[in-house]
Amino acid sequence: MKESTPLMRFVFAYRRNTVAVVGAVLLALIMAAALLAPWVAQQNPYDLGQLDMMDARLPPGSAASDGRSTYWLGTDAQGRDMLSAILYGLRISVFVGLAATLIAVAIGVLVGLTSGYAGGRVDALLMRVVDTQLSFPAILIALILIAILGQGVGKVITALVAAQWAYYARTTRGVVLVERGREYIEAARVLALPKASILLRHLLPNCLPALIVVGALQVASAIALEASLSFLGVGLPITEPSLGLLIANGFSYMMSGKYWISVFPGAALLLTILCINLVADQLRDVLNPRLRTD
Amino acid sequence: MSAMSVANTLDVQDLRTWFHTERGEVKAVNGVSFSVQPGEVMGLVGESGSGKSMTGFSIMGLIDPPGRVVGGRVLFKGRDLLTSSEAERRALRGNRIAMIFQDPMMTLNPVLRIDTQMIEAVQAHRRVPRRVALELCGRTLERVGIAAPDERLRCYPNQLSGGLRQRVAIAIALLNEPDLIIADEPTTALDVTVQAQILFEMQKICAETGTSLIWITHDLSVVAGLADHVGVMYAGRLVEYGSVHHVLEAPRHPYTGALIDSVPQPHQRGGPLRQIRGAYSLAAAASASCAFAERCDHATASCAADPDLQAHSDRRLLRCHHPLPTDRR
Amino acid sequence: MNTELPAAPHGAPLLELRHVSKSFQRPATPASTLRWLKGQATARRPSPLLAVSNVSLHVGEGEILGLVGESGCGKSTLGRVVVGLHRATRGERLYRGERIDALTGRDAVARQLELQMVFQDPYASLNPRLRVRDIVGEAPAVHGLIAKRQQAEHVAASLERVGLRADMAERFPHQFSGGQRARIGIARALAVNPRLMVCDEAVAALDVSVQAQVLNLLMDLREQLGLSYLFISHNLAVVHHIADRVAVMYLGRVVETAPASELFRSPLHPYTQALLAEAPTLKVAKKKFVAIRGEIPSPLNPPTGCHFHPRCARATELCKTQAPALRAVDGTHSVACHLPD
Repeated sequence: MKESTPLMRFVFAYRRNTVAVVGAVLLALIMAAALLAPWVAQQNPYDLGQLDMMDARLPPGSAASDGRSTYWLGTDAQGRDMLSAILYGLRISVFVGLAATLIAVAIGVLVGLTSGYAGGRVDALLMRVVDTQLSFPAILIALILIAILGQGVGKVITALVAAQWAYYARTTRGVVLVERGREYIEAARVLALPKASILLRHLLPNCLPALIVVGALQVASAIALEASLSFLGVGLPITEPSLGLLIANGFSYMMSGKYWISVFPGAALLLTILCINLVADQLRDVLNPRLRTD
Repeated sequence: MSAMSVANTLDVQDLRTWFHTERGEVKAVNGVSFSVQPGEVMGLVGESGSGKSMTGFSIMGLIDPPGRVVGGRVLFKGRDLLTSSEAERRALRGNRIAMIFQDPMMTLNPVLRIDTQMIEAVQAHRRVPRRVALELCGRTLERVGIAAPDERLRCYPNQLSGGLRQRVAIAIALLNEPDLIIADEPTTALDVTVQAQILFEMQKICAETGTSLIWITHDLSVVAGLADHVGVMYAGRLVEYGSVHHVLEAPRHPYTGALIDSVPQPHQRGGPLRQIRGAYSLAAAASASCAFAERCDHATASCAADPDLQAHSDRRLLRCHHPLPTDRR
Repeated sequence: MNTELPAAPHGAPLLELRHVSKSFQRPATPASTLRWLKGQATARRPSPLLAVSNVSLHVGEGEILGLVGESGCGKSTLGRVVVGLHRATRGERLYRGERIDALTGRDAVARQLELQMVFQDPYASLNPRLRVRDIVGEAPAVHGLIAKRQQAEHVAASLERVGLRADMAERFPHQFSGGQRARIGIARALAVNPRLMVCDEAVAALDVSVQAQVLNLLMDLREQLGLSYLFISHNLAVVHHIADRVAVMYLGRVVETAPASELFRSPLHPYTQALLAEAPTLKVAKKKFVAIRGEIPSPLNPPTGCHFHPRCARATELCKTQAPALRAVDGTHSVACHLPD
């Protein structure tokens, strides 16, 4: 019997769960669209020169006043094509979410590794910090930091990182506590390998599956958090509007029947988060069989 | 094959249990036949991958998908368990047929007290008042050598040592005085002295009550001391079966012989132990030839055809084209 | 061979433990804290677990010392003290006649590499994320025993020495069987040129036929490389087969030591006698198992005096109050008993 490659196993596992496959495909499409927005969108919604005030607040499916294109999802108060605005907005949202998660993972893992391996007072101290952090709602931390730091992409990312690193620290520490007593770590100690080597080369790779799962779910969370901040008007600036800001802008039009300005960005946000959650959920199961003996 | 007599507690005939995996059919049990009489102890011996545990599970009806029993008969006092309904099997399990697992925590619920669990095991099959059941539990704990049973009954499993837990698991198996007990490596994880105590108790119980016992293990020495008959399994097949005396003193199957020689013996101190060439492989197990052929010193071209299980004399079975000579020793 | 280390003074054993004890602190529990607050105890934590108590033993060059005992006897803890994973609470560890616990830096590392360990669980003792070539080759490279460019060669040589093929270096542990993983663990230990290997139940998790292969391998390596072993096992037949001398432990203490054949032929301590009587063997006579009275006590609450007295048929008043010392009965046979046979 030939050895099955990780790719084959991955595909086989996914085939058993259609929902996950659909989620994965959709997510791939969303990511592609977000990445390629400048080339895929029919207009750059932030280039004022491309906007035409005459096309403001048109319902979905209307033709442009210059007759050359259709506004598939309608336009907003400034005449921006909603579809293009959503694609650009997705781009920002996803970028901010991913960047924040990656940085939070890096910080959280370092803290978790140190805490779990060192034990004793170091562990107690670091975990009290983590516990304190986790007892605050994420949005509260983010709001406080934005109030202190001001607005801007970098500052929003900082706020998101501050709100999230503690989860990774805790997860990593949990895995380290379990793995620390395992025989292969004892073997590394008997071989007099340097502590840094044991932490980074032996412990860290074994924490990755748990981290990947938590990280994937948290990307969705970060995106949602950023959207909330932007909706409240304290997130990304108008020059880099994310989906949250789009939803906020269109909110006042909800009652006058021009639902598309708010609902479509909202649906895009919902769909993105849903797909990320579906994929992350399946990742947990797909990654686990690595522990089985083939 | 021994005559199918109603006097046998258990008759297993050509049992086959296969697992459907993404890499093909794994024939975990592929042709196992033996019988057990009342009061008799049978040892089922094999290494990892031999299918001995799966045989026990198949008899109990504990095989879940992707595994299923694809062939053979399992006659418990004349009634085929494989064709019985699940309700009928459930009535028998824990009642007339009991199983003891290697890990006592597979039997014991960590959040319930011992007395709760034992009373539940009794009342699942008989309508007796709680007080009567509790008394029975205490007496059964004494039978397995637990002193001060009343105290132990009030404990939770995590308050007991490994040896005590296993004895409680055995007591649960004995509560309803089953006709057959299947024990899957129950003493493998226990100390020598605790194992000796448990083996002592099992011997006593089988002699007193006429319960049949199938003891699944990889440890030939335990089988030597405890069992009347022994079956040796390799790659899902039963390759040899006979009385303990015959099989261990004069093994006929090359695998049995090699296995016996691999065990360190006092007279060979310091010398090299007999090694079996090669290694167990799933491919060999799945092939149409004798599964042991590629590791066997006596294999010839005729071993390309998987031999059948044949009866030699009274209750002696062998699956081999080239048995070892009877005067081996 | 590492030429930096001083030669052992003439006659000194390779490794010696003198009056080694190891206790483990237990965390404070609500019950123990309550006792402390009420003045019934002197400390907030419960009393420490004394896993190893006043053990002295030695392993000579090229010798195999077997260490047998059951759960709670402390043999695994002792093995880890020998190899440096645990620091002894009391007593000394001497390697080639030199106290090594106080060493630091490169000196400590040099000696550490000469004391290696082979673990019990072939599945848990290899890092599942590393390839075999990294598992075996990492330590020699890190410690400068070999140059980076020689690593592949060195790994290949180590693998071949334990009966594996060099091309297996590219694979991951989960692609190997239990017996092969046990060999990889041995190759990993050998790669740093040890002089003494502690085998902590190294064959316990293996099938009988695979066990035979690994035991043969260990004995061959002893012949070829002049290694010494501290062979820890609960399996008496295996210990009898491989060891030159044997030490028997019960509840943290050594109760008997003797050359292997003598110990199995004429054991003097009641516990050793019971252990040998109860171990199943292949001799087919339908064995009548004789149950030894009582359970192994918990190491947290050992009996007073001689630990074995509650289960001993010959126990006297003296046995209940005074722990017997390990005394030599003749040149090589020592027993810790007030009334040895």
